[in-house]
Amino acid sequence: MAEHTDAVIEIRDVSKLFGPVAAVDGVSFGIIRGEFFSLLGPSGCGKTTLLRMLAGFEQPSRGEILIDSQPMAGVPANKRPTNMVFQSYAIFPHLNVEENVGYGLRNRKLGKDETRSRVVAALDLVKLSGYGKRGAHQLSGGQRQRVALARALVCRPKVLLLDEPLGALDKKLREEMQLELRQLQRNVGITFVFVTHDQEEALTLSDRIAVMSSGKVLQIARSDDLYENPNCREVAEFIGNMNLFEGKVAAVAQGNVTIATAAGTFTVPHVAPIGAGNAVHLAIRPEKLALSADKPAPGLNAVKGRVIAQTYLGDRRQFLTQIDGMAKPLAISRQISGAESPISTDSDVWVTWPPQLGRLLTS
Amino acid sequence: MRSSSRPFYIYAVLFMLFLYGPILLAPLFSVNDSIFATFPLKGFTLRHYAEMANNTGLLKALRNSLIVASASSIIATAVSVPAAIALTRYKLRGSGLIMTAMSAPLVVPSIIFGVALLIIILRFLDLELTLWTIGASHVFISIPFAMTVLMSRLEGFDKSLEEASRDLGEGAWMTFLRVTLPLAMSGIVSSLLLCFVTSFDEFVLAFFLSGTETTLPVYLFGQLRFPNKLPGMLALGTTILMFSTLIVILAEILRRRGVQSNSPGEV
Repeated sequence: MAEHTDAVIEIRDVSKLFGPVAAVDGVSFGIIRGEFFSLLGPSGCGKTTLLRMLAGFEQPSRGEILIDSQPMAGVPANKRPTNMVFQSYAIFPHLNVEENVGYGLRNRKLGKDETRSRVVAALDLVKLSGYGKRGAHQLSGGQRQRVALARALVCRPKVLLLDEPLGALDKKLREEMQLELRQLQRNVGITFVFVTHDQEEALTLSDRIAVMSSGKVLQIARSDDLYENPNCREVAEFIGNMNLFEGKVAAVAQGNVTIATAAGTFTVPHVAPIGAGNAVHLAIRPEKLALSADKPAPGLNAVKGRVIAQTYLGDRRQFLTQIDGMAKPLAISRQISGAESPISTDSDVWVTWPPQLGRLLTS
Repeated sequence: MRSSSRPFYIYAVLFMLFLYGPILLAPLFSVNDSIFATFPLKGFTLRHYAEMANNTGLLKALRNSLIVASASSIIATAVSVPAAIALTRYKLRGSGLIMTAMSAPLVVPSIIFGVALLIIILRFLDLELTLWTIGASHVFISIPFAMTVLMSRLEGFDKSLEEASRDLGEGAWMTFLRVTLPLAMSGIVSSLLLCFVTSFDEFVLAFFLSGTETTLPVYLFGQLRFPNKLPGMLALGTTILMFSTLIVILAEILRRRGVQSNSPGEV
């Protein structure tokens, strides 16, 4: 088996069964040392179960997990080189901030001074200097989050596991913490494995993202790659907004595929071999579509429709356009620069896009 | 709303009178300057209370009661802590059955329980009846109370606290000492107090299982044969009542404080 020297975690064909239900179903991938890796998916997709198997709170029913090339089977949570930030933070209510942060240092045979200075440094790292004597109940949500981070980082884990740590914070605080978390990860250089159901959060924070659904990993990719090149409908619809045209392959030529749909015939780039007649989807992001009143130039994909609604969003305007033959209206997002000509609701328009911006989805 | 709630209000007052009226007669006659517990009242006196301090039989019974109650409450709580942890932390097969079985002393009449224990102790174990036999029976009847209090405390706190301790490098035993025990402490104290009161007030089992030494309620019952001792016993009863009420209130305050400390601050 090929050893990746730069993989700090290797997950090999791991499944977890709860009774007859597979919470995690035959998952294999590696996490690179020092990266910010996110497990993204709707609730119940198995991301938290996978994280808990990394932490040692659950044992895989099948497959194996290696951390730093060491098999983790039979290694309990307290003997693993991982530390976790819990969704509820799990701050010990009977201890103050200092005692919480120093909790994991007790049996590390450190001197009193060494322990103290590490606790102080950890509090400094999360910007909580001077809060050491505060009781757990005197902390705000954001501060509790920081204590949980400091408490885990002070143990200098090889991997830090974070279970939806920002879920309980309000929007503004959450955005602040996202920035700080990213900064912190770069400063300490520890591998972060981050579980979230919030795709925007995952895109903002991660070096790489694994999208999970029903216990399986659908796609692992960098944020931009995931957004631009989703490999299936589920990923395409889960990450951002996506317009989908259902159709059949009509012709294949020179890296391009022509698709016949109910709304017309479109061209889309595609290199992998595919036969005519296959059922496929053409996917196109709302911001890649253009609107115009005039008949477009040849060479563009174009479809005629009627604007049925528009929403002003400050920096951009979102149009919904009804196309004959399609059940769902197309979403078009247009940046507001001030120069574009207004389009009124109920007017007939052309929706266009250059063929290379569409994506062909076979599953 | 106001007019429709009035019948319920009257009902509640009558209900309370029915519950506590008879009990309040004891304190009333205990300060009445007469050996007869009848109306009209004669005058106010604390004589009956003062006389208790010189009653050696009573003091001995009191000492016995304190020993039995202390020992049985400590033992009942000590055996209930691991059981409560097991039932709240792990999905045990048949945990419902275990819970039901443990609350048997609440529904089995004490007199049947007493007779059964008497037979076991005298026939099968061939032991003498001492304070220990009373104490043992009190451990049994205290366990349901201890379990109820401890389980409500243990269920109340976030299970990820124990996981966090494991995650930070502590094994099962140190996690228990550093996290579970401190957090369950208010429940443990409140369980001790409740078990203490349960034992201290218990009559039927103590009556069946006492040898030469006896506890306060049994002593009190024995003294009722003498009419002139009645006011003194009413004073004793009143003292026990106030003492028990105080402890139960204390236990409840502790339990509630414990439950509150589970959710410190807003998240």
